[in-house]
Amino acid sequence: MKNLGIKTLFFLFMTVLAGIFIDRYFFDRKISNFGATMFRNQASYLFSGLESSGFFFSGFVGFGNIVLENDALRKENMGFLSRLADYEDIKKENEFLRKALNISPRFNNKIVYANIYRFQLGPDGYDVLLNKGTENGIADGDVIITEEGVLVGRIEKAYVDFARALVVSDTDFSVTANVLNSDTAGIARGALDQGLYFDLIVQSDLIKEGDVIVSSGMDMIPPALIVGTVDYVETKDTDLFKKVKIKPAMDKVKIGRVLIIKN
Amino acid sequence: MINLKLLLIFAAGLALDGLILPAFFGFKESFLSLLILVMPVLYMGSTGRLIAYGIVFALISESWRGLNFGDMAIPFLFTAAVINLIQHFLDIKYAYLIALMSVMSVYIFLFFYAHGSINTAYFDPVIGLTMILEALILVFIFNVIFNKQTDYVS
Repeated sequence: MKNLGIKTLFFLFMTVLAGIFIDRYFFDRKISNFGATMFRNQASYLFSGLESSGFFFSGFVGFGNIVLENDALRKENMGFLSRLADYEDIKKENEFLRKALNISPRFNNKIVYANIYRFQLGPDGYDVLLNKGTENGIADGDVIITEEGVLVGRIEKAYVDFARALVVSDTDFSVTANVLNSDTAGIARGALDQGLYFDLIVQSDLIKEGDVIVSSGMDMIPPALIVGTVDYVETKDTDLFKKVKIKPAMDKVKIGRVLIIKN
Repeated sequence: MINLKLLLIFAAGLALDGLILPAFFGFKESFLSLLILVMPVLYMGSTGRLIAYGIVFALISESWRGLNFGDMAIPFLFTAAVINLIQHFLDIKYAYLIALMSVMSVYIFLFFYAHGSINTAYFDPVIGLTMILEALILVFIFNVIFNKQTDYVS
C-alpha cells in the first residue's frame, strides 16, 4: 500500500493554513460561509416540507391506537378548556396590573420568524442553522421558541444572513427551570441524545416522571417556556441530589419554523 | 471515476445527515458525513490523493455546517496522519475491522477538533452504536460501489 509521506502531509497542512488566512483576511469569511448561505432558502423549504411529511407518515404508524388516543385527547381537551377559561381571566387581570404598575409586557421585544434548515450532530454538538441573520436584527443570545411556546435554544453566533443556534439538548446549553405547578426548581442542562439533565434537585423535592418542566425566567431566557417532560427519576438516599432526565419537548413538535425573541 | 463516486457518496451523506434524517425521520444523531470523511482513507489507503479529496470534503462540510474555514480540515489532516501511522503497523482488510476503525477515527477526529479534549457525552451507547451501524452500512456500500481491482491503491 502506497502511504502518505511527511512532505505531502506538510504541503496539505500548509495549503489549508493558507486557505484559512486568505478566507479570514481577504474574503472576510465569505468562502467558509458560502455553503451555509447559498442554499439556505431552498434548504429551509425542503426541511419544512420533509418535516411535515415525516409527521404525516408517523401518524400512520400509530393508526391502530387512534380510537383510544382520540378518547384520551377528548378528556384532556376538556381539562384544557377549563384551564383556558382560568388563563383568560388571569391574563386580563395581569394586563390590568401591568398597566397599573407600569411594567412592560412579557415579550416586549421584537419577535422574528425564521426557519431551521440544518439540524445535525457534529463535532461541536448539534449543528443547527437558521435562515435569518444580523441583517434581520438577530443577535447572539436571542432565544428561539416554537409557535407552541416550546423552548428550542438560543442563537450561538449570528452571521449576516444566517445564524448558528445552540439547542436545548446541546451540552453547552443550560436554563433555570421549574416543575409546572410546583416549587421544585433546578437547572436543566443539555446531554445530547440523552435529552437534558435536571440538576440541583434535592432528595426532598417532589418530582415524578411525566411532570412538565418550564423555564423559570431566572436567567436570560423568558419564563413559562416548555423545556420538556420528566423522563426518568433516580432517588438514592445516600446522594444529596436526585438524578433527573428530561425529554425535550422540541422532539415532539415541528421545529422547521420558529420564532426568535430578541433580547 | 473514483472521485465522482466518492463525491456522490459524500453529497448523499451530507443531505441525509443534515436534512433528510432529522427532518423526515426526526433522527439527529447521525455521523454519516464524518464517517464518509475518514472511511476512504481507511478503505483504500492513506494516499495523498485520497487525503486531498478528504480535505475538499471537509471544506465543503464545514461550509455547509456554517463553521469557519479549516475547522474540520485541520482535524481531518491530523486524523489522516494517525491513520497513516496505524496503517504502517496494521494491515486492515476485513470489512468489520474497517468499520470499527472508522468509528475510532471519528473519535480521534473529535479529539483533534476539540484541541486535545473530548466531550464525554459522545461516549454514549446510542451514539456509539449508531456510528457502528452507519459504518457497517457504509463499508457495505463501498464494497458494492468500488471495484477492488481498479479502485484500490496498491
